[in-house]
Amino acid sequence: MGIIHTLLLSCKKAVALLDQSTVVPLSPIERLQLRVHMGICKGCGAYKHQSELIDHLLENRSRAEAFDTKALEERINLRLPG
Amino acid sequence: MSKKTGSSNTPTLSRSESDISSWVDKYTQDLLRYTKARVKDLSVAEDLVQITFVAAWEGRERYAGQSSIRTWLFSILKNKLADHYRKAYRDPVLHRTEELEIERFADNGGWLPEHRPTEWSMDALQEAELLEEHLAHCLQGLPPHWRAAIEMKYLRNVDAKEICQELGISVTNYWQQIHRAKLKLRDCITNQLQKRNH
Repeated sequence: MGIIHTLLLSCKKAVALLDQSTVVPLSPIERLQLRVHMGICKGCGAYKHQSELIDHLLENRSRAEAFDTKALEERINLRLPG
Repeated sequence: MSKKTGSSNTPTLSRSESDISSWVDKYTQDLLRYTKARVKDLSVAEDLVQITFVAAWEGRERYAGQSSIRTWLFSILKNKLADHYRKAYRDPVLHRTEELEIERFADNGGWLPEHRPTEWSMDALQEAELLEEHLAHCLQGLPPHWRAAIEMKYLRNVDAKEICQELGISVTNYWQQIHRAKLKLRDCITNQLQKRNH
């Protein structure tokens, strides 16, 4: 019973650990708990995929509409000598 | 800083002068696009681009030509953005706008049925553009200090400890904010995708 309780992780804790691991390394026991949980939980599996996809999108954000920068360029040039 | 008294028009200086206005022509669009994807208001983005050029002008003697001008301008811009997030993060007024968090989990820590994630029914690679659009929309809906925390994570190559020092919070506090922001972004994108399908 003791071991089972050490290994069992709630979904709430599991997804928190998933995101935590992108900021700081997990302890060996946390990594084991997470691996056991992820092996059996579909919902948290979907969360993991989506969280990783969001990470990827955040890292590679390039799209933003084109802007008319004429006025801004003039304003900047006024602030610069020459 | 070298002092060049009496030579108000040295060749090096006048070349920098013409360079900087050609930089404005060349890079304003890129810098603004990058910034607007990362802050809420266009006017704030414009101000950040402007102070980037001013800082570049003031620090032009430190630009030694070892990186490209574009890279150099972007590194200045990223520092200005970090300043901006730090301020946004610490602004007590913005902190008070924190919303009530919705409960996604039952008492035993399991997902509530309506919040249990299911795979997005899409080819994420093919629909990357759509997802980027949804993400851009959903980022605007984050409480400002959560957004600041999450933006800091992707801005520069600095580790969590350094970011936490800059924001004045513990590492635990920091990853918890990242996690809350992620939960909310995931919910929001899921809703956007569902809206499209109905």
